[in-house]
Amino acid sequence: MLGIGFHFGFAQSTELNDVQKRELDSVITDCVKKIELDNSIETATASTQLLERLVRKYDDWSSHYYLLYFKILVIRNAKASEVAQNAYNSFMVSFDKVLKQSVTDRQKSEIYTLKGFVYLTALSSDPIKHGRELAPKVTELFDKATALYPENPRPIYLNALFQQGMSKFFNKNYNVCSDLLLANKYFAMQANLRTDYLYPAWGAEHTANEIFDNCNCQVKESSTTKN
Amino acid sequence: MKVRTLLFLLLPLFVHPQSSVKGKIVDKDQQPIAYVNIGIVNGEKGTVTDENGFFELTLSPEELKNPNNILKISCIGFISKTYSLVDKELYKGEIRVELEQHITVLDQVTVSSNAINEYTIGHDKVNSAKQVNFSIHRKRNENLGAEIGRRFHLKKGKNTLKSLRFFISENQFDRIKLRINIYGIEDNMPKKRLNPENYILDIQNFKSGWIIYDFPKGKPWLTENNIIISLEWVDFTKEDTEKNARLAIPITVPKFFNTHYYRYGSQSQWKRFDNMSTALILDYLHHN
Repeated sequence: MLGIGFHFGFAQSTELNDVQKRELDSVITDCVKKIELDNSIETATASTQLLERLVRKYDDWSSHYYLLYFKILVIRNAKASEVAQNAYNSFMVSFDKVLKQSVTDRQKSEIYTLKGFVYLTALSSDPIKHGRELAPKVTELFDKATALYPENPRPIYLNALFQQGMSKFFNKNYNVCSDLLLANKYFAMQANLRTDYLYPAWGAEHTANEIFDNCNCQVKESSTTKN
Repeated sequence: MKVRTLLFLLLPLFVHPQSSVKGKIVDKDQQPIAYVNIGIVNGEKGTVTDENGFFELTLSPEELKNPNNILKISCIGFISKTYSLVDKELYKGEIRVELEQHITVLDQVTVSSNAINEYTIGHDKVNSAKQVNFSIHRKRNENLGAEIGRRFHLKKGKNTLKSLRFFISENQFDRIKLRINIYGIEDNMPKKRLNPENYILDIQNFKSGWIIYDFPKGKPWLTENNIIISLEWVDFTKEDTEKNARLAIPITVPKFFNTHYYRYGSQSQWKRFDNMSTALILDYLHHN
């Protein structure tokens, strides 16, 4: 009985009052905007450290979520493999805890997306080494995230870029545009509804850039046959 | 007292009589060899010989003192030579290094009746706000040999390279020379250079835009399908030497499944940057 009560309490995560929400929103907004301006290892590391202090203060889903997200940016921007490996290990340790803290399907969808994003980052850095092991996991995680919350644009656009990257790697064609445009539509819908930064919002600009790159008849990957 | 002061002032000259290594690289017929890479292995400085085989490599006192520093001299088609940086022979004025030719029998491309497929791979986006700077022109003696590269995954089997396209977003030099290098990959890093010869591009009075290099025909098969192609900064001229000059290439970040490589000068350590790419496009022929 005690065990059930503890688990229930943990899974619910802390309810924040308005003042706490405003503080959390302010810190997350600040970190996200700094990353948008300067997507470097220094900014990602500073944001991670700030969020680490914040999760100790508020055991809240949003702070845990963004801490995981900034760890991914550290992995992605790390210049030394040890730094990336440490951030990867730290992400994996935290992941299960944050998944347990996720109550709604939307929250679970976002968390599975982050794990897929981590595997995608590792896979795309060395497809020959990691492709066989990680490709099925990436697909599974993005599929699961989309099934839990079909209007989540992040697994849609990341999965589209993953499929496109794998196709190019194997010299095959893949039309990425329909999925990117669908993700863009969901990003626009959610941007109209959002009032704060306590819910994930990243990916819209990346999607827009990829649409610009891929969906304006400038796709260069092609093949012709000469006999 | 005066003698002691004089000795004190002269002491550094005895310890490090010269802060640079300079000389000429020649072949066995004493003909100069152009575009030879000279630098500290996995260090931070390197340079390249000019068309007359001359070079000068500037070194810091720390680099001169380190007994583990190895100076490497390497060139396509020749056997490399290495020296310890504490080797006093290096500092006796202008050194003259003779390189022995490396003879290899290569499997030449033969025309067959089989189908040839042409493929275009790479990254063609140039609208990125981010750029990578190639060069520091005032540091000719420590920054030449800088390379910017990208990983390419070709179809398995026999391939030949047709052309390479790349985009220069800003060039403030009057003339630059770039060498195109092709590397095999080991542990996701550049390893053996696969060029059968020097592929040199001479670019004059060009500010920005796409550059196309057509690889010579009839070169050996490229049997490795996972390669890195890099642009190496081997020479430049600039009339106004007072002003610092830039040579920049756009880079897209993030770009999944793309890997960018950089090194500061000849023989220096490669750095790998996952999920980003410069604008480099390869056209190649796959022979079935």
